[in-house]
Order: sequence, then structure tokens, then C-alpha cells
Amino acid sequence: MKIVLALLLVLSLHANIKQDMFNLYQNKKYEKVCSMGFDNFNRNSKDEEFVSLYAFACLNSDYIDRLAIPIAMLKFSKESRSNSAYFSVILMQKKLLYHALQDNYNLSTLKLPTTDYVLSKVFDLYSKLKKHEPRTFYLFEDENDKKLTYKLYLSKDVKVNKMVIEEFYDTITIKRHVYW
Amino acid sequence: MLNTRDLEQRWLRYKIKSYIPHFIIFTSIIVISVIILTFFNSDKKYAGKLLQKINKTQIEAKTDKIVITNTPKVTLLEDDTKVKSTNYKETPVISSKIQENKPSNLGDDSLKLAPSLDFMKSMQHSTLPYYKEEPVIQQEKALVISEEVQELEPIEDIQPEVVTEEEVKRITIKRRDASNDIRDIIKRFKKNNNPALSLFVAKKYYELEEYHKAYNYALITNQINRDIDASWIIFAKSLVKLKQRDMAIKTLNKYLKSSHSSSAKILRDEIISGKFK
Repeated sequence: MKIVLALLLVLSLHANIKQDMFNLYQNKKYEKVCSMGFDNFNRNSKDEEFVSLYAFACLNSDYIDRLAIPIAMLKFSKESRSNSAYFSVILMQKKLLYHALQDNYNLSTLKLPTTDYVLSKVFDLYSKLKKHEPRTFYLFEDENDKKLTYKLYLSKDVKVNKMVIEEFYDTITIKRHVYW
Repeated sequence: MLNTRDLEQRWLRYKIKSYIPHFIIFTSIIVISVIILTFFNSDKKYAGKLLQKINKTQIEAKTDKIVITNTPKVTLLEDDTKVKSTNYKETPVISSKIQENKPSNLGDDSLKLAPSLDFMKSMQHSTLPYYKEEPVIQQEKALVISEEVQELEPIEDIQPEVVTEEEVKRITIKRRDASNDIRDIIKRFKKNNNPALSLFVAKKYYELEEYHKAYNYALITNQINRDIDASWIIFAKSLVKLKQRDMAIKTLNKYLKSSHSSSAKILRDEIISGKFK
């Protein structure tokens, strides 16, 4: 009887966490959802809905490195496999772009799939540049919207240099993404 | 006297019989070994073919590897020299026009991956029944109150003035309940951001003739989900009530461009003709 009650309690807690995360996600509190998912990941690692929600929240809050585990876990349904591929492309593009900025690695020879995520857009624009000498920052115009521009640069830090992408619309900063 | 011949024959039969199981085991072992050997031979032949294939692919891969491994080495060496020199140029702005001049097939040919968010729909559907139940409960509550009032009527003497007072009371009770319900729903809406809840609030405010609030909640609903017909209608109706007739017609026209909703068309025609005021 005690075991059954304990199981019921655990199940209800699990459902509550997932539901709370979903509600917060709908309210666009992605960072909180990402940290909640990170804290409760071991208990819900086999629930693909939970893992997907956690991964999308981390993606929207620019915690790209946290996608590594969901990429490996999402494999049982068609939808999760496609999301896994989507996340893996973004993660790879982030790593390659960081490597290129830091070490002047040539990306122009690469031909990768792209996504609608801002990092992918900037990656595509950067990889279109031929081999060049390192610059302090790069300004790219969006291909679809000329008012939208992206500024890409490395911000110097004591521990690790951080890659920054700033989105501008008519010279007004909309969003700032920091990756490292 | 002992019959030695018979005894000898019997002994021989006994001996032969004792050897039979040994013989069967021996022959079966031979048969099994022969079968296994034939299988192994066929596997070896297949393996040989495979090896030949693998050898071919390895030779091809080697040629590929040469190409792949060579390129990073070259770039790394160049990187080292450039990092040491650290000749950071002041960056020119890279516009799309300049990029167009450069040969780039990446954007055109590359595969575009899109996220799949269907799992969220299923999660949302699992929560919907909870909100659907709420309005039903409110109706039940309202019915209970009206019944109580109706019961009071026959007890008191039939006087027209008293009946009107009760009617007034009934209206006030309903309003209080509605405002409490709306408050609860607004709280829930702030938590969930569910467009069904904000639409419900907009409708309730419209019914209570609080058109400004109805307009606000319909606007919020439209911002969350543009495809809800009812919220656009409430939005336009409340605009008309707020004496913004032209604005209502404009918004309905814009909405009709994307949706072709018949109810929205009817409402627009009614507003234009002056039937709906």
C-alpha cells in the first residue's frame, strides 16, 4: 500500500513538473524552464516530451551546450529524431563558428544544413565569406529583411572569450545572444 | 550340457547391440561436423567476397581521407602564423550586396531543418479539458442562485414592487459572481497564457457592457492566436460600442483578407449598413 502511495506521489510530482515547465514555456520564461529541466533531468530522462521541452527552452535561452544530452536521448519517435537533428546542427554550427572566430578556421569550404535559428543564419552568412584575416567584428545584413542586421564578435573575458551575436532592427538592438 | 554355439551367438548379438549407441553417436558427430564445415566454407566464401568489397571501399576511403586530412593541416598551419601576427583589421561592413557578388551556393542548395513542436500540442490538449469544465461550473452556480430566488417569489405576497426589487437583487448577484469568475480566469490566464481563457474574459466583459476591457482582452487573444474568429468579432463589436466604427471596419477588412470568415463578413456588412450599433 505504501509503495503504491509513493508511486502515485512520484507520478503526480513528475506530471506537475512537466506541466509547470510547459506553463512557464508558454509564458516565454525559457531560462527558468531550462534550469528546471536541468535539475529534474535524471528523473524524466526517458520522457521525450520532457526532454524536448527542456531542449527547446535551453535553445531559446542560448544554453546551446545543454542540447548535447537531449541530442543523444531523443531517438524513439520520428518527431524527436527530427528535433535531435535540428539541435545537433545548431550545436555543431555554434562550435564551428566559435572555432572560426577564435582560431580563424576557414568555414567557406563547408556545406551544412541550416535552420531558422539566429546562430544558423549568422553561420551561413559567415561561411559565405572566403578565407580572410580576422576582424574585430562582422556586420551582416539579413537576406530577407534589409533592416535586420547581425553583429558578430568575440568579447574578451578572463576565462573564456565569448561569442556575441547582436540583432539590430533599424540600428536598434533587439536581442543579444552570448555563446561560449 | 551347455549349448556353446547358441551361447556364442547370443554373446555376439549382445556385443553388437552394445556397440550400436557408440556407432550412432559417432555417425551423428560426423554428420554434424560435415554440415558445420559446409556452412563455414560458405561463410568463408561470403567473407572473402565481403573482404574484397571492403578492400575496394578502403582504397576509395583512403583517397578521400587524403583529401580531408590534408585540408585542416594546411589551415592550422596558416592559423598559427596569423594568430601570432595578430593583424586585426578594422572591419568593413559586410552587406548582402557584397555577399551576392561572391560565389556562394550554400544558401541555395543547403537543406533547411525545422523544429517539430507537435509534442507541445499534445501537452496543451492534455490541459484543455480542465479549462473547458470551468464555464460549465459557473453556469451551474448561476442556475442555483436563480432557482433560490424563484423559490422566494411564491412565499412573499404577489406585489409588483417586491418582484422588481428581487429582480434587481438577482442582477447584482449575477454580476458579483461573474466578476469573481472573471478574476479567477484572469489569474489562470496570467499563469497559462491560454487564448481560450482570454477570449472567455473578453466575451464576459462584452456581456457585462464593459467594452473597453472586452476590447483589451480580445486584442490580447488576437496577439496570441490570430486565427480565432470569435475574438476578432468581439474585438470589432467592442470597437463599435466604443464609437470607433471606422476602426472596426478596417480591422474586419484586414482580417477578412486572411481568413474569409462568413460571420466576420456579416458583422462588417451590418456595421456598414448601420444595423449593428
